[in-house]
Amino acid sequence: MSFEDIYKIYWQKAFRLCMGYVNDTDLAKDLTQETFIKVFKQLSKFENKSSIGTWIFRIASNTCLRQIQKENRMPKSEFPLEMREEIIETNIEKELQFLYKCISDLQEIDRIIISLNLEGISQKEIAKIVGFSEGNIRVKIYRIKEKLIEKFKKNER
Amino acid sequence: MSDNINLKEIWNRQEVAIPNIQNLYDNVNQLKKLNLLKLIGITITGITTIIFISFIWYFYQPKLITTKIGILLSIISIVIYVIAHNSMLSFLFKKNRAINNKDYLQLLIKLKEKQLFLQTRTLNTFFILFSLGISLYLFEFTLKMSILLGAVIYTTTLVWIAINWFYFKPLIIKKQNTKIDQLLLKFKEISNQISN
Repeated sequence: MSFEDIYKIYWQKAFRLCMGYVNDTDLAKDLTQETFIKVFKQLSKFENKSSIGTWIFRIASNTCLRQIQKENRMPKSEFPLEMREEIIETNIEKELQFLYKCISDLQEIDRIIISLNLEGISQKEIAKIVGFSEGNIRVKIYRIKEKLIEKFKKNER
Repeated sequence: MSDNINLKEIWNRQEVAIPNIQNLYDNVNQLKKLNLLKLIGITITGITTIIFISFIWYFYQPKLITTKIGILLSIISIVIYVIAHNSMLSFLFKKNRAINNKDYLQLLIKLKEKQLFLQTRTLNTFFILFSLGISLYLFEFTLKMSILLGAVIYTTTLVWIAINWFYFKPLIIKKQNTKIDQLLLKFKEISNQISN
């Protein structure tokens, strides 16, 4: 698979993962760009031990984990969220916004796990990306979803 | 299960226009240039200082061994600093990014601890060697001066070294280490989320 193909197929997915982690569109775009720079540089070293998707998601999530080094650059969530509220009026976007807000309240690793799960990555693959056992991932996903749904229900009331 | 499907459905509504791939290629080239410039910058500063010191040796032809040792120590201190700085850069950038989050966090923690140790040690070595070098180097020239002038020059130099040692060095180390300490703390905190 050429780099151009990988870029087209995985950019949106990697962006959503970064967005789940930072809840900030600009920062998420930067992190996605950084991820693909790393992918571009290391593509020749990629061994087919894991699927290309797992490999890219590992790079993307590690890039997110490292981003606190740049965190001082922009305060998280509040400012961009307010701005988006002005632009986006529809209920659909508000739901999405609320989902990101709930995810960003979670612990860092939980944000990665749930983002990968919502992206449709299997529990086995998530275990490989994060470094947890599959059983642990299953329990974690169950608990995180419970929390999220609870918050959604409260929000609807 | 309908709740789960719902979350996924909301999640998938997020679509952003994919940036042109050319931007990425431009970015790669920019980064390459920037890293190279950083490397060249510090190396050139070091080399220029070494050339300057060597010129003094060449033009003034020092007689005493202390002067020569002084010059050599100053040059060695600069070389150590440049090498340490450059190898630290490559050491920080050339790590495997495709390992799992758990191992990656462990790697980051190790890297930061190493960086903390290296920075402090390199800076200490540089300051000791450079101060010693300058003090020895001055000896021959002050011998040719009157005792009073010699004393004034040595006192000024020693005061300058003391200011560097007791004021600037701790300040630089504190500034470097505070940031790394904070990062270390955060990385350890995230790492604990995986081991729990």
